[in-house]
Amino acid sequence: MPFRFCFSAADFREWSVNGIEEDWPISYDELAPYYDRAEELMVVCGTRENMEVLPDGRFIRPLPLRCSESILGRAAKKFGASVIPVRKALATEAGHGRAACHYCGHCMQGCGVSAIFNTAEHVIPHAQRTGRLTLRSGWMVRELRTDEDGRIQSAVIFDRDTRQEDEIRANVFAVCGGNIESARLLLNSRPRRFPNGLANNNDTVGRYLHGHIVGEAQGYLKDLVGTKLGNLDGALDHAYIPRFDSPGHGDYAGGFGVQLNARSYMTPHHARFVPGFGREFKQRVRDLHPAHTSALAFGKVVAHADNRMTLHPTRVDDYGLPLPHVNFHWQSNDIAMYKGMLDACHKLYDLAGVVFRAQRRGPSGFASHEVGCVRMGKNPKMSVLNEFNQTREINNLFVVDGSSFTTFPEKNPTLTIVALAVRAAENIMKMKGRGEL
Amino acid sequence: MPDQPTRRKALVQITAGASATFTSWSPAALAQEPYQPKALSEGKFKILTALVDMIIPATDTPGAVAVGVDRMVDEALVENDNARVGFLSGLSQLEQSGFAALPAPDRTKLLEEYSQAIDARGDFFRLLKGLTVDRYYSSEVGIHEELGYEGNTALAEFPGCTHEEHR
Repeated sequence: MPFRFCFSAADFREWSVNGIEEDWPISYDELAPYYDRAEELMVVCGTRENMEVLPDGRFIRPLPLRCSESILGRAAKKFGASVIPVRKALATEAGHGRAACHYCGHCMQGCGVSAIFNTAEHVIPHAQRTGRLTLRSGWMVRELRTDEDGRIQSAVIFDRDTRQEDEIRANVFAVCGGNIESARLLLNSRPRRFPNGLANNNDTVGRYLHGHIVGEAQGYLKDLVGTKLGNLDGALDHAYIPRFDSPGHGDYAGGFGVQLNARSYMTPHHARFVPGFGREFKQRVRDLHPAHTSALAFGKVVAHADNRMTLHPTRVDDYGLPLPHVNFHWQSNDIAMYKGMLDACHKLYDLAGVVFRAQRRGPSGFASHEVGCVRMGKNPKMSVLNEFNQTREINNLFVVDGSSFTTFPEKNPTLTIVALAVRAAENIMKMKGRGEL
Repeated sequence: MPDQPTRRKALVQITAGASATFTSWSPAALAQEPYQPKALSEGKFKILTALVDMIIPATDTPGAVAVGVDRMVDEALVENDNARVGFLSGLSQLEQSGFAALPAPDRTKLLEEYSQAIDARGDFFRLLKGLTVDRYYSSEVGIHEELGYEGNTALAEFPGCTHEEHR
């Protein structure tokens, strides 16, 4: 889902505010102008809500709430939560340089009109128009090579189909492979000066792998049983529950946010579970279907040094490169968080009034929100990058993706990744201007 | 929308699995095409048809047999060894208990017992119901006629909730 949430001020200061993990080497105030630039680039729909836990940005027309979301909103107020229009990089109206959404519900299968922001269609063409972009599609980086001064000199790349090799020389290198692959490239590049991998003399590359813990509940609202289904698919999730002081929130550090109704209405998810068979069963399945609502909760996972990726000691891929080996275990805070967020979803359903409910997942880490592994930080012993995504040990090597996150709250990562990337790019230009690169 | 019939056909074909056998999934077309069971004997297939009809009968919309769910289950059993073994065992038991000759109310009572059982009969019932439900609610009849699904199309505007009583 193309959610666009910025972090709150406290999210950058877990150590100072909550006594856990580490503070980021950058504050909300320093990143705020880049959140603005990211939102301008991506075009984000939503409403201004004046909530400290989820700072406002520049939004275009919000998605309207469905009946189920209105009903859940009324219930949410009873235990201190709110249901707000979702913030995502979706053109809900024309006039922003791309087609407006037509509510076909296919967002997760690929948007046929590019109403949803994505890099391939909304960033690369701009770069191509400068005349300064060379795109090598289907090529993979084998390693980065250094010169005698320990700076990156070139990237050795190969075509995945033909295995033809090439070497790209440059002054500045920015690695943006996603956390596992970015860390893997650094570890797979081992010149004499960096026997442990690039910028890894402190054995931190690959560590602090974290993301979100995910749970899901589904309910069938009594107020909507037996109503006409209509066309509810829309743009999938239209509403969100920002982090709040849920019952039992004192049992764990951090919080969770809940995405509502991120599913099309074509499949009756309850059909297998409605008891019985025959005419009454069939009618019951029909009556319950319009009453469906789902809640997908994303909780904070604490960054832990021993949750990490390393290079596999023996296994390699088809190109002879050591495979990434992931070692990740839920910690006690994560499990307490999972229980707390499902309890909250069920409490919400109790308050809203459901006639039927299901819980579809055990703790899952599958959110596509993996972060960490090439972390920025204040403490050189526990980080690889400085606040500008620059590696401390190699001044012309930058790592600019979710791997740079010091810690990670319950919000989706993309807006922060983009904001950091804009800031890093700007800083690279400034450093070049000062003759530092 | 000119796009819709193509989308619907593709959807039914993808979700119905091996669909090469039939030229059309409409109830009228199916009624005209005789079926030779592939995984099951004719006797067992007759029982399967009766069971599928009991799970999702015709009401104000066609039932599971009208959209060919019994045929789809038989086809699925050709490839799925685990399900086939479970089904053969369950159907044999029903054959032996004289299911074919039972009047409708007694069949219902027997299937109700199966639905509450915690032994192999319960497993068989859940497998049967799961397969029937999945295929019926993936069919054009199940999706559009029975559930009244109107999505998978384009809207100029999305109407939000206008009910005061929901807020």
